[in-house]
Amino acid sequence: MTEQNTYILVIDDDKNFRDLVGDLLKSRGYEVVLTRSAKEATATMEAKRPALAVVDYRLPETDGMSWISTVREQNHNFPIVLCTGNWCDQKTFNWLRNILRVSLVIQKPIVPELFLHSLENIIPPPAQKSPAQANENATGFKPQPILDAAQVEESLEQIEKMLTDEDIFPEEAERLKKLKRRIETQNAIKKARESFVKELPESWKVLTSAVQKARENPRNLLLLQDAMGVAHKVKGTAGSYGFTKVGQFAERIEDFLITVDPHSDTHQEVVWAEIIRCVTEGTQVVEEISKAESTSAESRKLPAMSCLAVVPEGEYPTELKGAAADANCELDLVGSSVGAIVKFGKTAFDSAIIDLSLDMTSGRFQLARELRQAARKIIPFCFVSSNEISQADIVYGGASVLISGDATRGNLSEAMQIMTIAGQMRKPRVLCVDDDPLLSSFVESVLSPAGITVRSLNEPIVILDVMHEFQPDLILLDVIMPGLTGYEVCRLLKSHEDWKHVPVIFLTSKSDSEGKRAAFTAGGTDFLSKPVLMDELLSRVKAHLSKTLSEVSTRIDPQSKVLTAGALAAESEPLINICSQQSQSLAAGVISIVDYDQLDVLHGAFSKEHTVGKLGELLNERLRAEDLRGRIAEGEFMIILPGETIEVLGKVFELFKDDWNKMWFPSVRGREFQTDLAFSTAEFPLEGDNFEKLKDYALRGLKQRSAMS
Amino acid sequence: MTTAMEIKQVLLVDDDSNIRILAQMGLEGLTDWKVELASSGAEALSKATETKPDLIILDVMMPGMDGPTTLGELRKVETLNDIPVIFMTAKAQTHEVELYQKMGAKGIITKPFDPMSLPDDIQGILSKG
Repeated sequence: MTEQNTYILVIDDDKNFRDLVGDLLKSRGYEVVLTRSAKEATATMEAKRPALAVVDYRLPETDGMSWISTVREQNHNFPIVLCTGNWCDQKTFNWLRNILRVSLVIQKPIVPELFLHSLENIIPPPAQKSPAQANENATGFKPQPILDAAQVEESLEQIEKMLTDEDIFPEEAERLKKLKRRIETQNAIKKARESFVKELPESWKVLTSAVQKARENPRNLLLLQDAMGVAHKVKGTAGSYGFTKVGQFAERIEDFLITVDPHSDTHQEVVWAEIIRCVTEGTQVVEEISKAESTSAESRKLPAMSCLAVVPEGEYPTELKGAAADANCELDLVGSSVGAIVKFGKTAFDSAIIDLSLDMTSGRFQLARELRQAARKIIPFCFVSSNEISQADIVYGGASVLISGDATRGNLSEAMQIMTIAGQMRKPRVLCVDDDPLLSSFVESVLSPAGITVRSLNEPIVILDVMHEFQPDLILLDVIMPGLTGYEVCRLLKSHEDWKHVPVIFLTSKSDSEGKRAAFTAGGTDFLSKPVLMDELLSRVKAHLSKTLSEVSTRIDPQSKVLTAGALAAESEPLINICSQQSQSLAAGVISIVDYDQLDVLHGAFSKEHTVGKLGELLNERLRAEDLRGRIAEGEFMIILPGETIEVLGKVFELFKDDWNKMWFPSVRGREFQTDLAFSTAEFPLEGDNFEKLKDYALRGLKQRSAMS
Repeated sequence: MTTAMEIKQVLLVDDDSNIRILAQMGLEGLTDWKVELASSGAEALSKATETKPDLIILDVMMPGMDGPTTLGELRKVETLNDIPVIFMTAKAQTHEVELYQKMGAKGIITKPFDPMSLPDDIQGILSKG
C-alpha cells in the first residue's frame, strides 16, 4: 500500500480566508500549500500533485472556473472543492458537477467545523482514516452518480453549443468531444441498468433456490458447487451494474459456501445460518431496489390528483383530456349526476368538475354536497356554468374555481391545478431532500398513510424554488449528497427570513458522531441515524410537526368532524399571511346555536350532540375546500373564507340558514325540534389582523346582537 | 504515458449476456475499438480465427471450456498464440493471479468492474507490458 496523499492546494486571493483554511487543515494534519492565484497554483502543481484543491470562485486574472477547466483538460482527476459567495443556480451547479467534476460547492463565509467535516468526507485526515471510508474502498468501485435524462440533455446541449464556437481551441474541442462520449456512454449504461433491474429479482431467486437445494443435501458436492457458481455470477454482474450491496451479499454467500465441508458434521450449522441470513437480507435489498426503481420510473408520471368530470356526454372531452395531461391529473368522465354519485361511491376521487346544467338533483348545488358525502372528505370542486352565478353561491356550493362560458383546455387545466392546491391545503407537508430515491420512496411510504404530504427533492441546488412552491412544514435533509452537503443547504435556509423557522431533521450515518454535532452547528433541529427506522421516522416527524401545526390525529373535533379550536387557529395563520401578502380580504364568521345549553334539558340527552354533529356535517359538505371550519366552543363554530368579503359571507350565511332550517332533530318529547342559529362576522384586515382579533371581534358582534334581541 | 500497442479489434468472451452488454458499452462508447462478442470458449476460438483480434478479454468461469482452458487452446494455434489475453474474474486471489500470468495472461480485471473505467484499466494493464 502506498502512503496516502493528503496534500491540499488552496487558491484564494483573500489572505484572511487563505490563512483560516490553512490553519484549519493543518490542525487536522493535512499538508497545505496556500496560493493567491490560478497562475501560482498551476506552478505549484508542477512540483507536487495535490490530493485535493480548495478553489475560490472569484480570483484575479484567471477565475476559479477557468482554472478547474484547465486542470480537468490536463486529465487531473483530484477532487476539487469550490468556495463561492453566492448560491449558484441549477445550470451553473450542473455544469460544475457534470462537466468540471467539482466534488463539493461550499458557501462563503465558511463555518470551520462544517468545512472540515465536509472535507474529511472526501479525503480523511492522515492520522485517522475513518472506518467508513476504508470500507468504501474495500468494496471495489463506487458507481458514479447517474444523471437524469434532463441533465444529460442539458449537458450535451451545452457541449454542442460550445463546439459550434468558431474560436474554440482544437485541444478544447477534443476534450469536449471526449466528454460528450463519456456522458453518452454513461447514459447508455444507465438504460442497460434499468433493464437489468428487472432481471435482478429472478437472478436472486435462482440463487436462493440453489442455496436451498445445497442446504437440503449437505453431502452433495455438485449442488454445493452449483450454488457457489450462481453466487459468483450474481456477485460479478450485480456489482458491475452498480448494485454494490447485492454484489456484496452474493460475495459473502459464495465465501461461506466455500467453507462448507460436505464431509464434516461439526460447525456446519453456524455456517449455514450465516448463509441463510445473507440470502434473507439480500432478498430484502433486492426487493427494495426493484420497488424503488419501479416507483422512481413511475413517480414522474404519478398524477397530482384524480378528478371526476360530470359533464354532458360528448361535450368538450378533448379539452378535458388535454387539460388533464397538462395538469398531471387522472381524469374520469361521467354524463349524469346519478352516475357521478355511483362512481364516487366506488372510487375516492380527489376533486370534481361539475357542469351545473347536469345538476338535476333538487336544491341548490345538491350534487356537490352529495359527492362530498360519498367521498367522506372535503374535496374541491370546479363549477362550469353558462348562466350567471353569484359569488356567494360559488363559495357556498364549494367551487374553488368557476368556469363561466366555454370550457377550454387552458381554463380547465388551470382549474385542475387550483383544485390540486386547494385539496392539499391543510395536510402537513414534509420535504425530503435526498439523492437516494430508495430513501425518498421509503419516507413517502411511511409518512403518506399518516396524512402527510411528502415531496422528494433529489437536487438540493433548487431548494429555494421548491420551498416557495411547496411551503413545507418540515424538512428531512440528507447530509451527504453529490456536490453539496446538507449542511450547506441548511445554512442557506437558516439565513433566509421566510424559512429559518422551518424545522430541519438531518439524516446522518450511524457511526458519524461528529456529523451529528455538525448537524446542530448548521442549524438543524434534530437528526435521525441511517438506516432510518419506520417508527422512529414517523414519531419524530409528528413530534416536530406538532410544534408548528397541531397533530394530524388531534386536529379534528370528534363530535362535529370539523377542526378543533387549536387546529383552526394554527391553520388560519398561513391563510391570513397569504391574504395579507396578496392584499386580499378574508372573511371570518362565527355561528352560534341559539339556546345550546338548554337543548338537552328541553329535548333529552344527545340533543346537543345531534345538532353539533349535523352542523359540522353541513359545514363540511358546503363551502370550498380551502375554507376553514372549526368548533371554537361548545355550541359555537367559526368559518374562515380567504379572499372573500363580509358581504359575500353574509349571503353565504343566508344560504346556510336555508339548509339548516330544513333540519329536524328527534326530541324525547315525541316530536321533532329545530334550532336557531346566530351569526356574526369580522373582516381582515379592517376588523382584525390575526386570528384571535378576528374571533374576538365576531364574538363581540354576536353578544351585541343577542343583547339587542 | 506510452500506449503499448494500437488496438482496433477486441474479442470479449463471457457466458453472461449482461456482462457482455455492459463491457461492450464501456469499450465501444469510450474508445474507437471494435468489440466482437463470444459467449463460450469454443465460440471464442472460432471468432478469434476469423477476426484476428488485437486483444482478447476472457472470463475465467464459464461452463464447458473455462477461461484458462480456452487460453491453452489459443496458444496451440500458431496464428493466434501471440494475441494478448486479459482475464476477467470475480475471484482474484494472489495465487490465481500468479497462475494466470504464468499461463501467459497479460493481466486481470476483477469483477465487479466499472464500465466507465474499463478502457483505462485495460490500457493500464497493457502498458505495464
